[in-house]
Parts: sequence; C-alpha cells; structure tokens
Amino acid sequence: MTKPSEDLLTRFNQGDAAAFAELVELFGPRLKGFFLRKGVQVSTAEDLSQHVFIRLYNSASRYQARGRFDSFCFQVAHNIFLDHCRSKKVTLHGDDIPEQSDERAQASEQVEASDRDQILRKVLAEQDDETQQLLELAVLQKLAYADVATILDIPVGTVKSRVYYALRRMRGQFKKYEQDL
Amino acid sequence: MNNPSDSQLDDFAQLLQQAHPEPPMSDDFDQQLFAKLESSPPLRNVFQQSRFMRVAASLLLISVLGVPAAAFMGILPGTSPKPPVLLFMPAPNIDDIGIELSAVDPEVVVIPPVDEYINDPSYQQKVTAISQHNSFRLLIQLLPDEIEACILDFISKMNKLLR
Repeated sequence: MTKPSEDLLTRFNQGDAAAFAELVELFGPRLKGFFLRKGVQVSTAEDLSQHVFIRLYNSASRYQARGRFDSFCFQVAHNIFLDHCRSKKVTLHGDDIPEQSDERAQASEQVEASDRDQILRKVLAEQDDETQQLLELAVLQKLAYADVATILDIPVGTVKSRVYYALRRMRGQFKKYEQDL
Repeated sequence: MNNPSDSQLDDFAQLLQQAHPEPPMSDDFDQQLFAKLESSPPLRNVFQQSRFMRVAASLLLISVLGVPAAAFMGILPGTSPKPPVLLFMPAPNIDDIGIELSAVDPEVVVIPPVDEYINDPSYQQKVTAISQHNSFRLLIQLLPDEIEACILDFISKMNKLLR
C-alpha cells in the first residue's frame, strides 16, 4: 500500500530524496493520463508531467500540508496545461487542435479496452470542454469538490450540480449506446 | 424517464474511472526528469550558491522598491521644507524722523505714508514741514553756490539753536 502523498512530500522537505522518487512513481501515470485526456501527444503528456514535477520540486518547501497534496498537484498541472495552450496559441476546444482526434485515439490504443469502456470514453469525449475538465478532476482524479472549485475558480455548489447533471446526462447517453450495440 | 439515484450515479462514476486507466510511463521518464532537476536547480539553491546572484537580486529589489518608496516618502506630511518665518519690523517713532538739510535729489521716490499714519496729525505736520523744506531747497538751488552755502549754513545754525 502506498504511503499518503502528503507524508512523502514532508519527508522530501526533510531531506529524503527518495520520497520525491516515490511521488513521481505515484503521480506520474495520473498526470500523464490527465494530459493525454486533454488531447496532447504522448511525448507532450510526459513532457508536461515532467514540468509539473519540476515545479513541485522547486516549490515543495512552500507547500503547506493543510490541504490534500493531489489537489495541489493537479492545480499545478492545470496551470501548466493552460501555459502550454497559451504558448502554442491553441484554445481548450478540441476542434482547434488539429491532431486532437489522432492523439485521443493514440491514448485509447494504449490500453486494450472492452466495448463498454470504449463507449464510456466516447461518451466522455462528446462532452464539452468545461464538463470534461470538471469530470476529469472530480470523477477521474477523485478530488474533493471544494478543491475542484478552487482549481476551476467556480463555486462549490456549481461543481456539485454540474457533476450531478453531467453524470446523469452521460449515463443516459451510455445506456442508449449500449442498447444500440 | 426516471432520474437515476445517487448510488446509480456513483456506480456510473466508477465505471468511468475504470474506463480510463492510468497509462504507464515510458522507461526513461525518471531518468529524464531527474536529469532536468539536476540541470535546473531551485532558485533558492542558486541564491545560496552564487554571491553574484544575491547581489544582482538585491540591486533589482532595491531599484524596484526604491521608486515607490521614495514617492511614498515624498507625500508624507512633515517632510516638506520649513516655511519662511514672517517678521514684522516695528514702525519707527515719529519723533525719530528728523529733517535732514541735504541737497534734494530729484530722483528720490517719495514713498506714500502707510495707512496707520494717514490720519496722524503729528505725522502730517512732519510731512508738511518736509514738503516745505524740500520746496525751499529747490528754490535756493537756483541761487549761486556760494549764496546757497551761506543760506544752508545759516539755517543749520538756527536749527541747532532752536533744538
């Protein structure tokens, strides 16, 4: 069983370099998946993940263990992705990124999935960008609603209601696709 | 259509999570990352290791903060230069104003009396006396110098006797 990430960061701040390696092992795949679902290439996803770790490494001493580390981590990841979009002069809308569909296909190909999983991914990919961001943080990364609200700069109540209505709508779409099979 | 219950939505959320497994990292991910970390030490370490960076940062900080600080000090009350002290010279005593029996200079500008002496009878008497004296002096200036000197000498002696 992995140790809580907050403890790892505390250990790292106390001079335990191995703790940071454990953090990389723990959060690397989560961050890569986070960036891949944003529609970037695999190499770019790993590059952005490395940027996150470098920023965490440099700001570890400023992290206060009051909040959850994963929220802090994905806050950094969210900001880095926004910086990436600005530097590439692309918007968050998938249609504006030329290679988006191919990249998402690449991400999908990485893991052999059942038909049900493919439908679920399709349903998620059909949602608008705001909903995808919201579900990425609140559902896939399992962050607290309050932390999601902080990252996306929207009220907590809005997060709750949007997640509820998005899941309800997606569940309906999922059922419909399943029946069509 | 019935709305799904919370538990049904939770189940659907779990299905979503399962459908999006975490992808494996490439083999050299860690090596690349730690190589980057070594090549880009934290800013804190840079300042600790380089005296030049500390000096440069200090100068930058001083120049950035110096301008608003100076502007702030400039608007603080009490830092403006001292206002000049205004003093009032006391008016000379009327009795101290004497009649000088000297040659009249036509270019001398006669300063009108200050307001406080306009209605003063003793001042007016002095003014009248000075005016008469000046008229007399203008008159005797027309005479030859020797005669003028004699008259002035006579008047001076008379003036001393009268005092």
